Amino acid sequence: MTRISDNPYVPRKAVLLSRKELSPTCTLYRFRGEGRGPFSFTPGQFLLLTVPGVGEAPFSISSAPSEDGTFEFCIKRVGRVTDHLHRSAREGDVFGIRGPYGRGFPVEEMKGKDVLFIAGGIGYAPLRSVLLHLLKERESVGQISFLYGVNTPVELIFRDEVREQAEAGTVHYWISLMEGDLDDFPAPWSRGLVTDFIPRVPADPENAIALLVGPPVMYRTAVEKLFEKGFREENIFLSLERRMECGIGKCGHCAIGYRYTCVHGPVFPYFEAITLTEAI
Amino acid sequence: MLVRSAPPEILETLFSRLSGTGKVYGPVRQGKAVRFLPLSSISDAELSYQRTVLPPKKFFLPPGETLLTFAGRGEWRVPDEEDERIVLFGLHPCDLHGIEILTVFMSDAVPDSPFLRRREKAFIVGLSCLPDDKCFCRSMGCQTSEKGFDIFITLLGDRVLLRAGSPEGYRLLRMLDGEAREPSREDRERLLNFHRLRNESFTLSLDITDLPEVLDLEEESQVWEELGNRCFTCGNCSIVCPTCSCFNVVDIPSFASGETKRVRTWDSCLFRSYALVAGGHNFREKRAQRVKNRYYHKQKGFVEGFGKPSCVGCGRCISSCPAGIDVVSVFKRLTEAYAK
Repeated sequence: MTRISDNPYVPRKAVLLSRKELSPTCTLYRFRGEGRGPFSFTPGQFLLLTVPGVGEAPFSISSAPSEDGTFEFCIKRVGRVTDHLHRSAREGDVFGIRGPYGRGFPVEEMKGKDVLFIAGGIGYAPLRSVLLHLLKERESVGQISFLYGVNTPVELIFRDEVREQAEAGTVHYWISLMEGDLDDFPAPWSRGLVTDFIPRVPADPENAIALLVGPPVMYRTAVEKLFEKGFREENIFLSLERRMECGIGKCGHCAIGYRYTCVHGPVFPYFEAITLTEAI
Repeated sequence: MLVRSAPPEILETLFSRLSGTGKVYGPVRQGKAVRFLPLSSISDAELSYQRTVLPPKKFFLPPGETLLTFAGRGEWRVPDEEDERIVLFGLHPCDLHGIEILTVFMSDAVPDSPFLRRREKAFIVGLSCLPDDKCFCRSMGCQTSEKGFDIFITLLGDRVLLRAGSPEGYRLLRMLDGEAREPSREDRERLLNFHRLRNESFTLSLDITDLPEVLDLEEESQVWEELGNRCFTCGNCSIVCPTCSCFNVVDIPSFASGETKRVRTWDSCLFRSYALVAGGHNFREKRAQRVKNRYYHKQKGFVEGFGKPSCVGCGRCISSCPAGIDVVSVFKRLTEAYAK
C-alpha cells in the first residue's frame, strides 16, 4: 500500500497583500503563501482557495512564478465563494490555499518559437501567467501575438498592462469586442469574434505554439481556424474548466472520460482533448 | 497461504479473539434488509446473507466526514484521528474487490490519507457465498479473492475452511490451532464441490472482453437516450456501489458554536448539479448524458486509467434501481447492436 503522507485536504495559510478592482466584476488579489518552503508553480496551474467559514474554490494563478512566495488571482464574481471575496476580503486577512495542482502550459517547449495566445474574457487571467513569464526573458521566444476577445470595453481587464506591452511592441495584441469602441488604443481592434483574427495573424505554424483559454464555443471555432492556418494538433494547448471539489483526482466532478481535469489538466494538448468525450 | 479446517464452532472462538482487538461489524438482518452493523456475538451475524444495502465503503469513506473545522478568522484544525480499530466480519469477495479498487484509486497520484488510514487500520474477514439472480461477479472476475482480507472463511456445511491473507491473519489462525487442523482429503473434495456449485449457480453473465472498444463505437447509440428517459437519476446505484466514491465538499456553519465544519458527503454523477459550474453552465445537463457517463466511467474510463472495470458485479445497482434498469441488459443491448 502507498505510504500515507500528509493530509492533502488541509490548506496552508496565505495572507492577502492587496486587491485591485479590474472591472465591475473582476478583481486582482495578491497573496503571500506562508510556511512549507518555497512556493513554485508552472503557469496554467491552479490553487484551491479557502475563504474560511465560506468555502473553497479552484482558481488559476494569474501571475508569473516568482521567488518571493507571492502570487495573484484574477477572480470574477460568479458564485458564493467569489461573491464573499469581493464583498469582504481585506488586506491582511488570512485565507487557505492548497496546491499548486494540475498540469500547466509547456513553457519549455515555447523556447525559440512564436507564441499565439487566444483568450476569451476572463480566459486572459491564466494566460497572463504564461505571458508575464515569457516577458521576463523576452528574447527566449519569437513573435508573441495575443488575440483577446471581450464582450464590452469595460470587460477588458489588465488594460494598462496590455497598453504598455502593445506600446513597447513586445506583444502584438488584436482585440475584439462584441459591442462598444476602444478609443485611442495602441493595438488593432474590431467588432466581432476573437477567432476572426486568426487568419490575419502572422505566425509560422511550423514553428509556433497556440495557447487557448476561453469558453468551449471559442475552442471549437479557434481550433478549426488554426488547422486552416496549418497548425498541428500537438502545437495547440487549451485549458479546460470543470467543477472541482478536491483538486487531487478524488471527488470525481472534473472527470472527462478517464482523465481528471485537476490532475491530467487543466491544460491539455488538443490531441488529448479531442480523445475525451464531451471535452470541448 | 495458511489454510485450516475446523468445525463451524470455531467462528465463535474467532469472534471472541477479534472482539478483543476492536469493534466488530458484520451482516445483520433488519426486516428485509441486511446491513453491516456492530456485532455483539457471532449469532448476531447472518452468515448466509446475499448482499447488504450499503457496501463496506461506508467504513472508509463515511457518508458525511468532517475534514476540517474552522474556528475564528484564519484558524482551522483537523479532527482527531479515530483510534478505534475496526474489524469487518463476513465480507463477500465482490466487496473485498470493491475495497481493493477503491484503495488503488485513493492511493493514486495524491493519496487520500483519511481514506487510506482507515483502510490500513481495519482487519477484514472475508466470507464465501453463493450467487442469486442479480450477481454477476464471475463476469467481472470478482467471484473469488486472493487478497484484500486478513482471514477468509469458506463455509462447507459442517466444516469451515480458514485462509490467512496477511501476517496478522496468519498469527490469529495459528492461535486457533487447537481447534483447527490441516484440510483433509474430504475437505478438499468439499471445497471443489462448493466451487462447482457456486460456478453453476450463476444465472446472470456479461462478456466484457471487448466492451471498451464497443463503447467507443456506441457513443451516439439510441440506447443512451432511451436509458435517459427511463432513469430517474435518483443516484441509488452510485450510493450502493462498492466502487463509487465521488464526493462533495461543503462548509457548514454552526451558529451555536461559531465554528464551521468542512464536510465531505457522498455525491452521484447522476445528480443534475454534479457537473454544474459557477456561472450556471452544466457540462452534463441531460439525464441521458449523465447515465451514459456513469456507464462509460465504469466499463471504459476506469479500464483505461487502472486496467480493469470499476464494477465488481455485486448486483446492488440492479436490486436498488426504482426504474428496474439493469446494467447487464444495458451492455448486452449495446454489444448485440454491435453484432448486427
